[in-house]
Amino acid sequence: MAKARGASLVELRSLYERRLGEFRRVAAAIVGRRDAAEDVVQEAFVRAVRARESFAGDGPLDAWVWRIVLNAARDSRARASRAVDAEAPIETPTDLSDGRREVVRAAVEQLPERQRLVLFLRYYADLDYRSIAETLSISDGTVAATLNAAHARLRQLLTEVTL
Amino acid sequence: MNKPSSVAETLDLLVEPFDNNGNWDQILRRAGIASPQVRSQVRLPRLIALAAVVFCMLAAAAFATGLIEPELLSTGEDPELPVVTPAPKLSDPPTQSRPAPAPNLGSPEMPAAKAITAADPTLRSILDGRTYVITEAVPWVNRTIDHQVQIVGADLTLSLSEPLSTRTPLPAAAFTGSGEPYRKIKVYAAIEDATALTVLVDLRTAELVTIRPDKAAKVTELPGNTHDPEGVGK
Repeated sequence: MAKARGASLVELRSLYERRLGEFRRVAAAIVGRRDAAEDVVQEAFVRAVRARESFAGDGPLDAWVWRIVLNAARDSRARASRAVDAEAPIETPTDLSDGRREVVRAAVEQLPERQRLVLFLRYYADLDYRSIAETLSISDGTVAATLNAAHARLRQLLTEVTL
Repeated sequence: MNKPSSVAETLDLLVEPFDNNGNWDQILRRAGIASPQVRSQVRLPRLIALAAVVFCMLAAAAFATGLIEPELLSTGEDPELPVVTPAPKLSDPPTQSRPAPAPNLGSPEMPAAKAITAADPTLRSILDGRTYVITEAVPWVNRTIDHQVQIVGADLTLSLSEPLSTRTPLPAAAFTGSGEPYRKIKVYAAIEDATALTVLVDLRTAELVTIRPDKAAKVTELPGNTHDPEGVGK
């Protein structure tokens, strides 16, 4: 069995400091709450630091960390969803920009999860197709097709709303 | 409602950019690892204390087995263990009674410390092909009786490319307080999962004096610890 390469604290810290804003942005998009982003990314990096020796090294460290961030964000989203089910708070838009944001949020929420993740990684993290493919363990071609489908579906949803 | 002109603008509306200001030390604390800042504040006192404990432990063992005469251990006064002292904080306000601040490691100290570390055969053997990055470097200083601070060497943290597990004698320093700066000893230990090593480099003798695993590593003392009679620090 091949020995895990492991990730050093130096590598993880460098990645954290270089891409923290992007990790937070993607996390906020997945959870649906901006104020959750910091906790999600911190939790993800705590997991990464604890598990650093299990990093196999058969792919980029960035992709390994992105997967951890995505999983932490999904966990947070699931917890938030359960809390909302229990308390059922209803927020109403307070101004025009909030209204637009809610329209976009509703449209994005209607996309399949893979399309959402590809969109977020492409636009919020500025990852190229190869990096997205490595992060989501899919092929480059699947990334391209998923992104095209997400664009088309998002335009359609927003057009329907704003007509 | 004005429509955004692109998918990117649409998504910008949903989540605006974040800054890059984070708290890495908090992550390390939550992961159970001491942060570099915390370690740097306690590094030398802790190192001295640990070395003193190791020395006392080994001295007691040697005394029990008759390797050391009792009178050799008795100085008749309180031990002055920290011949090596931590650098004062540069942020402290200067006062007349306060010692002079320690100089920073620069040229030629830092290149020399790096070179001595890189060439040390014991360290190379322990690393067994691993590479390292120096993630922290603080001066190892000696304070003279008139409060002058002199650089003795460098205290370096080496972050390793791969975790290290080994059973090997580690060079260590025992601070005896008997007039010698320190005594070189060997500590036999089993190390598991060290991701960083701390080394003390004596720039006066151009030697790597101690090698210690980071706090996160599991260290078990092995039988066979004895004094190294050679190489008393100058």
